[in-house]
Amino acid sequence: MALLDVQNIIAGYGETEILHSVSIQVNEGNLVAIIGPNGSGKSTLLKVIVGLLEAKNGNIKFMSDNITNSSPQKIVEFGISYVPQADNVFTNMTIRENLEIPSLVLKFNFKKRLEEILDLFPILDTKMNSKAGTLSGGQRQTLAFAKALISKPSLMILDEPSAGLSPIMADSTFETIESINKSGVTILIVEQNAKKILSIADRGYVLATGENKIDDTGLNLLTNPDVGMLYLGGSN
Amino acid sequence: MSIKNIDYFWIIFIVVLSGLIIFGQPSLLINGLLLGFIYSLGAIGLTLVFGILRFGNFSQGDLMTLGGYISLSIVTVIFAGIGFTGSALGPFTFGLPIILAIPLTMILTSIIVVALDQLIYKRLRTRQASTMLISIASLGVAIMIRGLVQFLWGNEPEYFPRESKQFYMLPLDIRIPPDNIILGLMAVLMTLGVYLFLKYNKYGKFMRATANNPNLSLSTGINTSIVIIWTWIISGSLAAAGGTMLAVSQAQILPMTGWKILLPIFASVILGGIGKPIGALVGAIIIGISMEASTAWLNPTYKPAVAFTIMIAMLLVKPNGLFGEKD
Repeated sequence: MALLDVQNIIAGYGETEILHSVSIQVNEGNLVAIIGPNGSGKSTLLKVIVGLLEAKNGNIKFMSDNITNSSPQKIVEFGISYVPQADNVFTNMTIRENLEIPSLVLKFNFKKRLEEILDLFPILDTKMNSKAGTLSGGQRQTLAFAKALISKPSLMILDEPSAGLSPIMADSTFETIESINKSGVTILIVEQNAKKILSIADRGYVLATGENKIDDTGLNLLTNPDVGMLYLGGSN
Repeated sequence: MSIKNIDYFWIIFIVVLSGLIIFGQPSLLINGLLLGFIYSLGAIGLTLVFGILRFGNFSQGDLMTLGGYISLSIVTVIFAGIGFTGSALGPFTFGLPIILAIPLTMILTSIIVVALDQLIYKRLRTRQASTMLISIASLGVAIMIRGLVQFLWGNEPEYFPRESKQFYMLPLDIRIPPDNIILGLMAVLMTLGVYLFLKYNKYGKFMRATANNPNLSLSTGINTSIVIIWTWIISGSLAAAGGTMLAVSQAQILPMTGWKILLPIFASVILGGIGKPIGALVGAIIIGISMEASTAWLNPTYKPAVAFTIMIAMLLVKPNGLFGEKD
């Protein structure tokens, strides 16, 4: 049974329908990528899953629970952490406060988890009392990951984590994502850098114009000429 | 916040203050300081509501009026009805009944503002009304509250029971009404309480997070409905306390009392930086002192104009206010 099972989701903004019956599955321990051109509905799908946008039709199951149109608070309680594409840290709060917020929401032992998280992301340790707004783009992304991981989520959902980062920082971010996944955290990720993410993804879904187009293993998608022609600019 | 950015403002402000102390009437500074502390209670509530709910609450002044009248009724009707009148304490013009009425008024006003939110503002938010529309709705609420006050208490001035007391006389011909000391202290303690709440309390942290990034707060699992209720509780409480203190310090209350200070309160918020509680405090103190100090040279009628001149100067020099961050 899939950890996350999204079936035939129809959703949009106001009268405009963005997703026309999209389905994806995420198995436990996997890293699943969603790729596709701009406007294909990738980020919209993530917003529907995490409760920020209402599904007009369709069904979302997480483990054995039906989480369709649950509130974002409920989604967090189910064990799903979401890292938005932009503005994913509280810039006016310190790094410590950013990491503390999930513990206040879910009522777990902050001090104990903080030590474990700082072992994973030691770069944050020296800046605990700095405002998150003073961090560089890469450091903010690290903080956003740490903030999402501190609650030990069953599923981590990332929306274009490499957006706006320098190539070096983007490579480092992909390494971090891969190592988080290897530590046992299931990840669902939307990413523009298709080549990079498909090379480390267990499975990938290609969306276009709000519909499922192709799905396969990450490596198969990388070598699929249809994907190359349509979404990777004509070459692999 | 860059210290460099506010250097010019502080320099001008300190020069004006020094001039007042040397050539003017230093007593005005003391009165202005108390006025600033009282304004800050209204301004902090206003800025918190703006930070979390993103609209300018035009009913804040009338909520202060309502708070003043509720305190008045608690003292003159309820307490007096049960025989609890109490004589004035020490050097102050008022006694224990007013001091005890303030927390009761804070609770009652909090209940009223939370109810107003659930009945009016929440419905508008659910319908995704623009912030402009919600602001206009708050203006309607202001007029409604004033009408209610006029209906219940009438249009004539009402007076808190008070006893005449001597002013403290200090060097440089500084005269301090003893009430100003206790009222100022109470306002400072309340401001400190809000600061500690925002800094260390779980819901205070949630409020700061929501003010900083509402969407991220939601997706982090923060219950923003509870955050909004806390925001109204704090804003309503401070308005109630501020309104009562204003009425006590002015020795009378009128249905227009709060409306008249709405403009200086808005000026304080804009001066300090919209959405910044510490900015609202500093802004209110500057506005309070400046307004009082201006009466050394100008007719008191022009006090609001002084507040607005400072606000406009700030908008021209530093549009985000003293403590605001660049966009």
